[in-house]
Amino acid sequence: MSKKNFGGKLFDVCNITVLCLLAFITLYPFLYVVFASVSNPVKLLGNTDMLFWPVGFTLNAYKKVFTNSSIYIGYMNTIFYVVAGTSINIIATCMAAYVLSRKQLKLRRFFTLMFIFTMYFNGGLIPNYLLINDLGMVDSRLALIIPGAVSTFNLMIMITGFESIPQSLEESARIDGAGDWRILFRIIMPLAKPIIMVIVLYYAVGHWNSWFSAMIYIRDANKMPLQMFLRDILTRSQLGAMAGQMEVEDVGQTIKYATIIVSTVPILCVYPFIQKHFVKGVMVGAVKE
Amino acid sequence: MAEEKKERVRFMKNNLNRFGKKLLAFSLSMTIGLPAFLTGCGNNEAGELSEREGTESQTPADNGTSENIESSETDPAPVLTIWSNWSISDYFKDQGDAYYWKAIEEATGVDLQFIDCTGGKDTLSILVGTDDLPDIIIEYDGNLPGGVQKMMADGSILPLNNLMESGKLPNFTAYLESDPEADKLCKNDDGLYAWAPMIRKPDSPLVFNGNMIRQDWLDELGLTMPETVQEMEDVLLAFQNQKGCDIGFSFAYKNYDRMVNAFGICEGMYIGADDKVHFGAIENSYLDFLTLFNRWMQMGILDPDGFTQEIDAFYAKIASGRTGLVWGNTGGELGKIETMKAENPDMDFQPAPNPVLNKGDSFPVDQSNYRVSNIGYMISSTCSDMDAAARLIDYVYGEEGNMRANFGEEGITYELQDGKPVFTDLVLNNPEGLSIQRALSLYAGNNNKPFLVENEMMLGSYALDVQKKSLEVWATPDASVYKIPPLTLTTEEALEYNSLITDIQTYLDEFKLKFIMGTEPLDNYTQFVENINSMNIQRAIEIQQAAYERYLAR
Amino acid sequence: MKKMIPGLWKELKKNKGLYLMLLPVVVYYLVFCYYPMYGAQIAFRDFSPKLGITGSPWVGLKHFKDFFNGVYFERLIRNTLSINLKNLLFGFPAPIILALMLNEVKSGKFKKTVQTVSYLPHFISTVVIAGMILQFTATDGFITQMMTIFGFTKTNMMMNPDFFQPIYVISEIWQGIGWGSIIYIAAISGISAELYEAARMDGAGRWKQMIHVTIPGILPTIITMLILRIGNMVSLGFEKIILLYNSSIYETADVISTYVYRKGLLDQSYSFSTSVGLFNSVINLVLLVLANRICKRITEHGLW
Repeated sequence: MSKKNFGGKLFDVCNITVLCLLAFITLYPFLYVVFASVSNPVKLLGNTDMLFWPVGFTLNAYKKVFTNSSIYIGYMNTIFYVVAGTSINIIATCMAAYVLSRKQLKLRRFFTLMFIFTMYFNGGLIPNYLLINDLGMVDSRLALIIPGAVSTFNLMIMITGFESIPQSLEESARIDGAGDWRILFRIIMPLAKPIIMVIVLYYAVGHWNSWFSAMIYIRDANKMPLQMFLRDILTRSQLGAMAGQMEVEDVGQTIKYATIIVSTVPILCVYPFIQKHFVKGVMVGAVKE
Repeated sequence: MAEEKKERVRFMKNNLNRFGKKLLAFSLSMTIGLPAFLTGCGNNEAGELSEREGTESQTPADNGTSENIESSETDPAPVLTIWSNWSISDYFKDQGDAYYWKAIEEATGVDLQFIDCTGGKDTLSILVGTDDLPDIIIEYDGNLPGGVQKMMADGSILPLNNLMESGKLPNFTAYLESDPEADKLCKNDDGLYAWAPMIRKPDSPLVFNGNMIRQDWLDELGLTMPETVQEMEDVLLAFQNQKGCDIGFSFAYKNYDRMVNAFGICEGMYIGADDKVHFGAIENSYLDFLTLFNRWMQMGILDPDGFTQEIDAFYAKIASGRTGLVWGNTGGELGKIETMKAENPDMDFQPAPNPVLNKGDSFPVDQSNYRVSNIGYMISSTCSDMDAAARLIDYVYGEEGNMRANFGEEGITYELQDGKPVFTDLVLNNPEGLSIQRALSLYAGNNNKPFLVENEMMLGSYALDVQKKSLEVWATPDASVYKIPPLTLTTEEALEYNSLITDIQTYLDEFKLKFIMGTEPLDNYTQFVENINSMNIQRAIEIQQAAYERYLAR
Repeated sequence: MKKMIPGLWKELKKNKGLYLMLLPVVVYYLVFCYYPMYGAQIAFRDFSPKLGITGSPWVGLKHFKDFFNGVYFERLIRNTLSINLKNLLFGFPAPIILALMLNEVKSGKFKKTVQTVSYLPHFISTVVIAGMILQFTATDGFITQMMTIFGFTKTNMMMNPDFFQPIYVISEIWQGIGWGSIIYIAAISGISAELYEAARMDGAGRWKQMIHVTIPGILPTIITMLILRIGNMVSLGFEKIILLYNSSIYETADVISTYVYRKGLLDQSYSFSTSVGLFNSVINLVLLVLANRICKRITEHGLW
């Protein structure tokens, strides 16, 4: 008895130690950025070590960031893309995942392969741009939502999730007279909640962090998402030097860090809401076999 | 069964709650976003329409006081789309709101619609690749896919010759006639003008970077400013031994070229004293350079992180007083160092003369930038209104536009004292804390839009004495070796050259560092040269030589 | 063939509702994924924007030959595969292990805190992370100093080719472990508590429970992620590597995408980069099919 307890306790201690260490290591970059963003820029310039506390304290960087109207526009755009985009993503992905997880369909394999194939072969930037252009979506917000409506990667994960729900539930529901849509919304989706929430997170973060599509398809500064603005601030001096500019405009370090914090913190807050759905035993009582 | 039903009901409720919330959020966002989205769509359509027809205007035309307008007051101004790679997103949401552009729009009677340039080279390459360029493009050659000559050869942009011959670019044409040296640099071997670039007037300072050394340390140790390479080495050693400086010579982005040039060569392609194209890495003097840096690395007076560090780490080393000799720009580094003085009042960086091999020699390699800079105005082949585009471009090359582009707006950014323009405090000592470059660029062309650069503008915009001094100290008037001028390669030549040089450059970059670090013994240098030769460097040199000869014959 | 069509029709009619539900997504794939595939022929032409895709001259396998005959071809492939393999061996299990470890923690608060903190690096821009890594591995960097304890001499770690791949893989784990563990945590929470009950009644301790209940429970998810990962073995994003590498470590750091990027800086050849991309895709697809087949044989789970 005591042997078991000791082994268990030792394991717990080791586990917690390692996790603490990991937490600290992964926390550091974020802390660094936070501390640097409130530091005095000139003092920060001379700092070659790691930061465990701000050097000098000033909120100037944040003041400058918040007085810049571009950030608000970026925010509004990004929030729109995240909400609208993710909604469409989830609806489309759930529908497709449900159908492709029904083992009774003979064409299941065919369509799954058809979708997987597109992960590897695509036409490249130019034909995609021409297509979007022909559809009249260039420089329209739709261009950031429709072309990315389904991510095959996420779809595959969701199919796996749906497959783990016992077929017997579906059968008994059909016997009760439920149609496909009812089964999807009232049985499958609640039971697959953890996986769906993860995919919601993946899509939402994907939209939040995305800048590439905006860079290609958007011409109007009023539609640009936040990340484009952030990239501009972070890479301006490097790109300028590469292009051969002689006198490169240098954005203060502290402003760079403040911009990162301002554009990252909101999305960080989404995960805690999702977390509460990862509750053990979702399946309790649902299966009586 | 009842339990099961209860569970199901609870789950359904939860599910609907979550789903319901999402639906609400979605519909809210659609109602908020939809109008914006629709107007976005609508604006786009209107913009396209007016572009094609060239008669509708988006904003009421400011046909006010300027005499340069050709269209009558009742005609709406033509709208041109423009790509101008200049980032002011932290000041103005739309680049067109900058005072400089507003003034130009008013003076030329053209309405400019600015395309968002945050995507830089990548966005531009999509626009080129899908033949969807805006009417006017202002960009650096390095950011253009394939370069400006390739874009003209591919037909994406139009040569300006037709417009020049039909008198639509009078000021630009007149200037080029008065300055044949610049003219040669503006056109290509076939006499075509691909763009209207930034041109510095004759007698401009042309060297804007070099080595800088801590004068206060020199004074403290009783040393004189080093002039030769050997003296530099001695000074660095003294810094190390007596000042405890652990990083002697520091730099970022591999800007140690000046030290290579001290040996009379450039690392890559250059024009030698014999007026022929050479490739520095296979010349004997390159071994001397590698030996020097290898020795400095072992002595510990060369920054071992110089080849990997980013600009922030580089500045940190300067600010923390760990380095005594750095490479820098007149505006960039010297200006930055000034701000560091708040924490380090004794820090005094002075420009160091370019190091020569023997005392009294003049520095062999010309450091001057070519007077024609690598940024310019281009007109795309899909431009809807050539005349308006020409009018817009030509403005800055004329007298009124020149004053505006150089000095900005009278009374705001400059005042006339004894007939000469002098920058005001708004520029030199901006109350909001903007740098000189930044403050000036809102009202004038500054460094990122093409125009004719006046000498006074350059000197006037450098506020610090040390900056003005550096322009003289770093100049190389007696050089006999030159950097490659802007050559034009034909499409076939370019294809062949690029495929050769990518691999050669990879090899060179890899091994030069190995030699310097000591991981590859310097005895293997002959093998290194043989390898480069076997990669067909001679053919690459031939291609450049042929292009150079065509350049001379322009 | 003729026999198949009535069979097909019967199948469609029988599951009409389901296939109708799938239809919008199928249309989406056809329009946005399959239609633009005609652009892949850029790889076989000398693309010029003014001539358009179909108007550009046909050059067959020229660009592929260019790529295969390059001086550095083997090195690029070797480095790409080597880094990806290391990533697979070390980077793939790491989030799984983290999820399992978190599962064993009893305090809900501690668990949540560690989870939230661990995915923070995923959100910090790569530019900042790369800057930090360069600083830590510089001559006076914090990691370099720690390494001197183990007997290494104090030099810039990033200029030593032997260090690059381990540093890269470790930094990928650092940035990705928290984020990657989310899916496994979600999968674990989907395992029925009854199974744990049954195992406990059979006398299984915590360790046995993990091996016989938890891991089999998340196995489908693991297999799916694994197969998808293997299907990416030849692709390696260049952004992080470009930010980290320098020419002295090309021999272990130069991968396919960084080389293509440098070449693209010079001549902007869409055709070359498209052909390299096509080459990557073919190899990746082959690997994917193999991985799927092997996984199905061993565990009966697969992508299709």
